[in-house]
Amino acid sequence: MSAHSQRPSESGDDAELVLRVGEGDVAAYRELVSRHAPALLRFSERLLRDASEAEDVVQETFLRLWQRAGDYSPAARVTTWLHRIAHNLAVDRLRVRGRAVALDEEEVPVSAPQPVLLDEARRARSLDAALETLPERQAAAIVLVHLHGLTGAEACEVLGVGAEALESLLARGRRALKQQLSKDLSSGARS
Amino acid sequence: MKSVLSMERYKALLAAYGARLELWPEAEREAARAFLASSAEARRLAADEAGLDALFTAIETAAPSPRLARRLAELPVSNPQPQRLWPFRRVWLPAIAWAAAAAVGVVIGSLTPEPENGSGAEQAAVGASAGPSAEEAPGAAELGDDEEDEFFEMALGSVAELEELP
Repeated sequence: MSAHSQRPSESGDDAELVLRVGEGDVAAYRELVSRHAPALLRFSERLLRDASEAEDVVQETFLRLWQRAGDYSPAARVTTWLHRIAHNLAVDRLRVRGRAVALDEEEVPVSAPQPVLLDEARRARSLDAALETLPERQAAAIVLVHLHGLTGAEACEVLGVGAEALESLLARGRRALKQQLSKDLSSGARS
Repeated sequence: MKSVLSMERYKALLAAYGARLELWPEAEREAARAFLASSAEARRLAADEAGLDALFTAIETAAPSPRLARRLAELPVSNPQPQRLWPFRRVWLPAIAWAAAAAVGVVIGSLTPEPENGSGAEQAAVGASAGPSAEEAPGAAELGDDEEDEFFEMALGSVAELEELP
């Protein structure tokens, strides 16, 4: 299945579902879980690098949804709102771990040649693995914009950064990913 | 006025957002399209980034583990929702309904003509609300002749007293 089909729903009735959750509608809650849990889990895993903690964050995010659906403002898309909750919960956990939040200083040296095309599935797996090597905030920006399809403005809202900072995170992330893919290609060619 | 994109700005946006213009900041998309149409170098740079964009769409998203799926499913059962002061969806909906009802009342009140004193309708209303007639008055039918005379004297006396009032 392609990532496109698993992206958070773009349909406008997400907001209606949240309103129904506010009225105690369990079926609406389950529908939102089905639509958004996989993406939120990936986003949290990229930030936390810990599958168990990422699951805790997703559970807590949906607990917030269940108990605070009334706080939702239709001005923001539901996916943006949920990503923001998950991001804040993950950052809190990183703080507890003693990790600084400005983690994007871990610059990867760049001298990446453009990667040559391998078969797509293998390269997609390499890219997914390469995402795990990115600094958390770069990975989070890449996941939000390039995998989950949030607009730049929405990603800024989730991450709590300005447009310029987001562009920097994205550009450095993409550059590092291309470099990593290129390395994988070289090692694959040798083996 | 149409904005114009410099090559430097175009490269910066391409490096961040890739070749999918729908991800670019809305304010710069139109200028980017124009720039792409006019510059072969811009198209070449976009083609270089398109390979990575295609890979992003090919990454699969894993479903939550059975353990997480179970925890999420049980969550509404084990965590009751807090009581809300206002049980309806939005506070402003009933507020608007009340305001609209009040406005309709004011309009109807201002358009309705003032009734004249002693109009037939008013008299009919007074008559209708005056209660049962003497013949129907409970107790009157059960009075003896003397008592009946006394009853009517009392009633007429009350009327006379009322007429003496200023």
